[in-house]
Amino acid sequence: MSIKFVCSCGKRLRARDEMASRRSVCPRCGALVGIPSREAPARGAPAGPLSPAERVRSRRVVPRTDSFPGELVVADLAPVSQAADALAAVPPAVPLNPDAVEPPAPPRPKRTYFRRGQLETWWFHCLLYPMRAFVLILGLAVGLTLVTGATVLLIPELFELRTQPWWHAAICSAYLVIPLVAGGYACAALDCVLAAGITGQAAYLAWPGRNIGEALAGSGRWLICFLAGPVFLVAVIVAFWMYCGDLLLFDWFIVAELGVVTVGYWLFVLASVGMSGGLTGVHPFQVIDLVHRLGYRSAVVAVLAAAFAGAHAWLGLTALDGVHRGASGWVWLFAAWFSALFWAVFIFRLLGVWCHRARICRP
Amino acid sequence: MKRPYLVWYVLALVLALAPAGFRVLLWPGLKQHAADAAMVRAGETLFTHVWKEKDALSPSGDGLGPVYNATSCVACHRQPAIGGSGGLQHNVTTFVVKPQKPGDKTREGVVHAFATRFQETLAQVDAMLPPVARPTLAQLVAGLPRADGHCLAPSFPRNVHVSQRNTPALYGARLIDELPERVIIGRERLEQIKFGLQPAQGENAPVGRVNRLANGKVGRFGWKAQSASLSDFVQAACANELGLGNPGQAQPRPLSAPNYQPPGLDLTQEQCDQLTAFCASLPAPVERLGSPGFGRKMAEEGKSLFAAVGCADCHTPDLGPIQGIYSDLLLHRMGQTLEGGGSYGAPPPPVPDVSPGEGPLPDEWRTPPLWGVADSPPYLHDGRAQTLEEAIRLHAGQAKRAADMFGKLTTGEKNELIAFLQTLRAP
Repeated sequence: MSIKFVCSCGKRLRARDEMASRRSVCPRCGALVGIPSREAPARGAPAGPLSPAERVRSRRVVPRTDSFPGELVVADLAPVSQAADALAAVPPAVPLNPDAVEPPAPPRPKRTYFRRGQLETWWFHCLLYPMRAFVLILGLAVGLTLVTGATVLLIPELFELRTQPWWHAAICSAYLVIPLVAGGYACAALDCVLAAGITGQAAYLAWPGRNIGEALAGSGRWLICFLAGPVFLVAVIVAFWMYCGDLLLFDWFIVAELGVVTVGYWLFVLASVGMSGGLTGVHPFQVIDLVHRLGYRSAVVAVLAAAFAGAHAWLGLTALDGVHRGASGWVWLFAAWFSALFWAVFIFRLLGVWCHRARICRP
Repeated sequence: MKRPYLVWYVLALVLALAPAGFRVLLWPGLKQHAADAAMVRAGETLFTHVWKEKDALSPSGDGLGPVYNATSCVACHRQPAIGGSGGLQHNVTTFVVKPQKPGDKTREGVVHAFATRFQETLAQVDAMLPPVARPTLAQLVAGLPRADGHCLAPSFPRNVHVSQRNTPALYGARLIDELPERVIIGRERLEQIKFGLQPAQGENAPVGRVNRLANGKVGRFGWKAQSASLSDFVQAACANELGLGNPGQAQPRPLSAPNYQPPGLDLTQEQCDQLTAFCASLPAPVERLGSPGFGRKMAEEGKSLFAAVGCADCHTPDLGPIQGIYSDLLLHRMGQTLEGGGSYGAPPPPVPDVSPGEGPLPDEWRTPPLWGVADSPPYLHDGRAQTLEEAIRLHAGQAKRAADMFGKLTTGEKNELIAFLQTLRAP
């Protein structure tokens, strides 16, 4: 048999018998919960903990006893139900003192609002995080727009370096460092968002700031995570797209499902590295452990991330094509980068929070 | 730590990759030409046959003509041997007349050099043009330093463009015909990625595009990549160059007799297949670097320069399974100076089958394969360049950057590059 009880946030919980009278953590809100005991705490009190339905019916009848574990008694915060007939069906408990005063009615439970600085409890709470980081995302989008647009416009010029002396080519190729640094900084910013979620940190926004070393370290982690597995899947996708000719519907399905696997695996490698605190997280077994612990949430994240990545890749490529034609391409490119960064921050925050919950609930 | 669920995740990864592997197995491979010696011999007979009006080999049709450019295939395709290229005297004159009034359609076609009846002249293209029957290249292209006629083009109306086509060599046609379409499409995508998604319609980078025909196929034969297969190319040439109507392409109607109806087809499908089989039997050109020595070293240096200068961006050495073709078979914009509209577009059913507005632009040309280039002068689409160096200098549009880089080479480096091109010989 299992012990059923309700957390203060309203989440219905169940624990094994051997966990009675112990403490645990609510998987939804992360708060500590006390698991009630099956034994009757005092003579005259109801035997064992009540089911949620029983608790509703006996809300104004069951007295509080000091032997109940902690203040987190169901009667305090269970959903309010004023069905008088339900109450009438339950025989009243016999008080120890016939002249005892009936204890006051428990206060109405408060609704669980999401407050700033509090770790997100629902998935849509994570949408507030990119809104808080609006200025950061705006700045990154502007920078990446300028860098990527300038890079594609200068690519034909770089091919003229083929006949130049090697030192001349090396100096001109130094320009390529700029887009790498810009991209690396964006990767590091997302890495910070993921790490903040994994550690359960919600009081302030995490970003690399002016710490270029941190930015380079973050981009290095991303690169290593990419090379640890997704690089092979990306090679398969690119080779398939290059040589399949005109894509049929089945071909598009193949590209889509390979994209989901690639993007999802890359995300989980990053999360695994974040949770392990080092590069040992790139081991496929650790990644699989994380995916198994997340359960269905891993599939949700993978599909969401792949869908967003694919849509924004298409938008970005269309915008880059437009950059060659006029100013409207630049506007579209900025919109693509801004939207991509916004949803990337949301997904990384969501993944980080879910990893945080999964780590706390780890047996 | 035991992970009993590990097997399921590995299985899931295998299932994720399985559709891609299954699809790869279904990709169309090389289109194999069945080598039939009898068909090839019969095709060679037809290729060298000198056609005449009411020819015995075409009992159902009118034989040669009534309008034609040559009396046999080998009359043009003979340099340096049967199946090769042709000289300036065998150039085909094409025209494009753009509409001047709303509702008018673009007219394009060929001004045939000869006729059994209904001789064609430029005046039949447009009343403002002189009645010249066989215009020379110098009469159509300004600035050519030759004495075979002063240029007439400046006096042409603005909506009329007349250009010429030089006879291409047919060597290696089987390899091109067998190439899967996905290889050509893959090359197009590679060039788009390589040059940062530069548009193919621009002239800033050598980004080519596939010529999509109206039936959805990819063009690969002809100066404008207007034919999707060797069979289509052969049938179109028979009809338009020799006036031999066949099941794939009807013979053109004379400009002065648009209502002319031939009594029947001049060639049967079997005869067309025999001609195609012979063309497919022609060997591919070879790269002859020569014996080790100074000449070979020059050629090898020139080969490196060929890639460094940017020639290999379009004249890519290998295309899929074809080694040494030096072409990407894509359309590239070559600049206003190398414009040339017109095609085998006269009614009946046109080849190329191009929807209006979607065909190659006047300055778009398929990258000609450079294999055998040393034995196929003159060069460019109309043969205006007598030497390889002159041909490189005349490259414009998307190729201008490479032409400028060639111009900046030293004399010795230029000689090395030309020496390399001279190693690309006909079989």
